[in-house]
Amino acid sequence: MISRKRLTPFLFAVIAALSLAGGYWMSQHQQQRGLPAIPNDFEATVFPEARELIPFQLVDQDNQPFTPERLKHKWSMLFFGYTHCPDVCPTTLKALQDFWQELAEPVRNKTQVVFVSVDPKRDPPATIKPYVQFFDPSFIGVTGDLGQMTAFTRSLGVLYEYVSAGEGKEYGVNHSAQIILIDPQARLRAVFPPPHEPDEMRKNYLKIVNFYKE
Amino acid sequence: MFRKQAVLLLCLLSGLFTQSALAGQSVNDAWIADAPAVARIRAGYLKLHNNADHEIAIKGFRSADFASIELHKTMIENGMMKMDEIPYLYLKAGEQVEFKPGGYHLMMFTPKRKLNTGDKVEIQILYGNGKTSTFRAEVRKRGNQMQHDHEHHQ
Repeated sequence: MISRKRLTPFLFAVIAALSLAGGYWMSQHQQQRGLPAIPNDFEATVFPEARELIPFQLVDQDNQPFTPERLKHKWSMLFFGYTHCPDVCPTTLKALQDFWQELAEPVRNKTQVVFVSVDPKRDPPATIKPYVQFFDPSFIGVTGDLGQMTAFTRSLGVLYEYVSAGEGKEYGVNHSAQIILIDPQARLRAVFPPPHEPDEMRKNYLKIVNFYKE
Repeated sequence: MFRKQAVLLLCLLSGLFTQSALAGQSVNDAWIADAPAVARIRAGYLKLHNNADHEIAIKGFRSADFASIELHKTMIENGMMKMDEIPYLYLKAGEQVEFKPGGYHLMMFTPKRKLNTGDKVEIQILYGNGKTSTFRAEVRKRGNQMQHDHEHHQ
């Protein structure tokens, strides 16, 4: 039995799964019809047609506006988590550090890594700044208004829910595990499912980036 | 004559002592992940081996360097990352459990001092039978140690 609390994330998960399946079907279909192909043979889901993002107004680690404009002119790897997460978030950020630091400089110059906190209440810019910069001084941390955050993440198929750990205890946050790739026109381009192994991720990332370079 | 018996007795006793030393739990490769100073919760990892010939229960961990410690397990379910608190961990006779990134970990709340790489932290294991044992964990930088779930690979 699905409780009311879990129903919303569940529905979104179903919608996300259906859109992924739809995307896959379309990609197959397009290839058969000779329409623009998408790269295959790697562990990421690439959308046959890049999707525009909805407008959003968040803030970065320096309390500067973070809007779709900030996702333009570079490829962006977005990971969603929270600083009270001791295991999987730092593990993934470590993987992104390795992914990033081993990129050849020309590619690195057109790549940015963005950590988005889905726990903006406990993660103000002052917290998120030293947190992301511990992994790399160039990493961007994003936080902001919870309503804006929810709209932004849902439009990307990223889900999260707050889980009470009992009275007097810090709450936990369940959240989507995927890394989202946004193209230099600020459009959703691909999704990297876990596990995130840096070398594998870099190989797949380069395939996508090279495929779409003008 | 007595001497022979004494030697025999000593042999038996030393045998017993060796046995009791083995019939415990051993901890290897215990470490706490270096983390941003602003992080209020840290993760600890270790290999825990039950050398006893019977099942043991672990009901918790504690350390003077942290406000509290909980035992958690990270799980990925339907693409969602979750952490479940494990109230009791049972280890069968001879069983080894590895706490590692992406799996079992110690969730260590509010460090009471600044922890630098190389620092050692004493941690106590609290057993179901009321006994305790102590081990030391070293603060280390994270390597590339994400737990691989090969079932998800094609």
